[in-house]
Amino acid sequence: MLILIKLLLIVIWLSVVAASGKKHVETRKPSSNVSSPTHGTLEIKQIGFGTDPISTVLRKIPGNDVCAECSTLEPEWASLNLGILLCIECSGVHRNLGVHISKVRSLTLDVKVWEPSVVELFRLLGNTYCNSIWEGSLLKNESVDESNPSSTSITKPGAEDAFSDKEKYIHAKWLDESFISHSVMIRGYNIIPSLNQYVDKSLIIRDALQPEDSLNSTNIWQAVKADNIQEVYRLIAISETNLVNTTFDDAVSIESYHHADNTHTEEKEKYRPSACQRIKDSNDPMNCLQGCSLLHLACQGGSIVMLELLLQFGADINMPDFHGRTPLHHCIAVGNFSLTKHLLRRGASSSIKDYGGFSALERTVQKGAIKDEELFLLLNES
Amino acid sequence: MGILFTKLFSSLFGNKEARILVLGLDNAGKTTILYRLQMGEVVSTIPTIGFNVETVQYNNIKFQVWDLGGQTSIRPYWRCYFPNTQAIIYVVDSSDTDRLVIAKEEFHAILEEEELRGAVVLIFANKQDLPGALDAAAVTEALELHKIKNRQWAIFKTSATKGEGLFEGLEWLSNTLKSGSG
Repeated sequence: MLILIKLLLIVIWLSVVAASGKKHVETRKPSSNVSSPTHGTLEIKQIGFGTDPISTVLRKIPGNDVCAECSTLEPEWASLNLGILLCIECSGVHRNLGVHISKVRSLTLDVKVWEPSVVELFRLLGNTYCNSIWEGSLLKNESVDESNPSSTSITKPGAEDAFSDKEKYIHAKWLDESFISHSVMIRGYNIIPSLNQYVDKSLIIRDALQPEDSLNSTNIWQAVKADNIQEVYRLIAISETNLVNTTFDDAVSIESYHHADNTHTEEKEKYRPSACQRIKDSNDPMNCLQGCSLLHLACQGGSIVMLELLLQFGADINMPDFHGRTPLHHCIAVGNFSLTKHLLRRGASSSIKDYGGFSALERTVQKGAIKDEELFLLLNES
Repeated sequence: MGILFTKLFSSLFGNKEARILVLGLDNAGKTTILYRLQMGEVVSTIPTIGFNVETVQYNNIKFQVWDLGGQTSIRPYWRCYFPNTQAIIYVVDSSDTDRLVIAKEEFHAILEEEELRGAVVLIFANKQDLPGALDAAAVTEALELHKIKNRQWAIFKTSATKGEGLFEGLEWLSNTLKSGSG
């Protein structure tokens, strides 16, 4: 029996080598010795992104030469949604947090996730920036949250510290959010813009003394509009409430915003895009923002990286606006087919009808023949 | 080494033995399940690059349980372990709804494998303790389990960290293997 297992190990080892000769595969026998076959390891160096391996590209981003938690050199793992690189031990702790907090992937073993939009998102974030938020109070020697007794005694672990110390620190950082900086001063400038700075004058912006939650809603709306990835990330991090599905209605006062055509007597008629006075007057289907989410706004702006950030944080990909139009409908309306395809690949549904009664596929056809075969297939599949 | 040899040697003449593969996407909870079954405790795990193998004795069956790493580029190597397998335990992170489509595709690809034609399939809808976890019915639908033909299968809701549902699954597995030809 033992001989059989040994044989099997050898067969596996050989087949791994044979199957992947072109991929620069190195295999390593179990770390102790082969006669104790309870573990086996396999090391793969995959072909990279462009000419460089993806790990080289990502490690050049500020702070990414070391693990975001314990500073181990050359991290090989990442949290996709948090935008940070990790060592294998800390990645183990992150995995146990659950995917609602951290989505862990390998830089070398998970090939498909490292799409250009994800790499660009990582480039705009990085360990240094992300930790300036999540560990902000440690960096600035602010007093940590004293109501939380666990946070006062915890210090950032080093590479050589015990697994349990790293675990304790990661739990305090991500589960209790003990070290987060709520201060508005990041990198020496006031990152919350004065309210008048970005404001579309036609909108009635809520009073500056509004509660923090709605202030954050207003700010995140403006940050998505300005395509400011770091600010959107920061606002999502510091907000007590989940901001990722913030709508236009949350962000601005819309009491007198929507001028539905009241000549239609049937209730559902007034939701039709064609019945919207704002759309009619401007002849621009995008001129009505009521019920739009941050994702709708990112689609209008055409930023694939912003789209990626919002989706990573769990934005509702099929949320309807006031007229029943999903983010996919918006992408099609502005004619951005590369973004349309990206949304479809991320699981957007093309069969949802807007309140005018048309699905995304039907709206695409209305704009003319679909010459992009890939787009047509994706629209039909989902 | 000595103990292992004794165990394996006695298995030839003593109890029934079954070879089980634990498969599933990365971070489904495969390693945590293996060691929960074997030691009865929650161990700290790191991603499995390669495999872990342990023997678990249950209901007079010695299960030789192989836990294989689940990252994208090591999934193709699962097939190296397929021969002589009596059962697959397929583990799903029920809270990772974004990746259920991929979990479904990998699952049905395994069922297509000629070498696993005779293997029974136990599905663990794991991480039931996490917020947003889908129940067994929703996971059944997402994995399209109704498409399984000519094969015995069962799904159990589990939480490896809380130790819930695992032995119920093993109970089903031992009964199924005893009654079958395996």
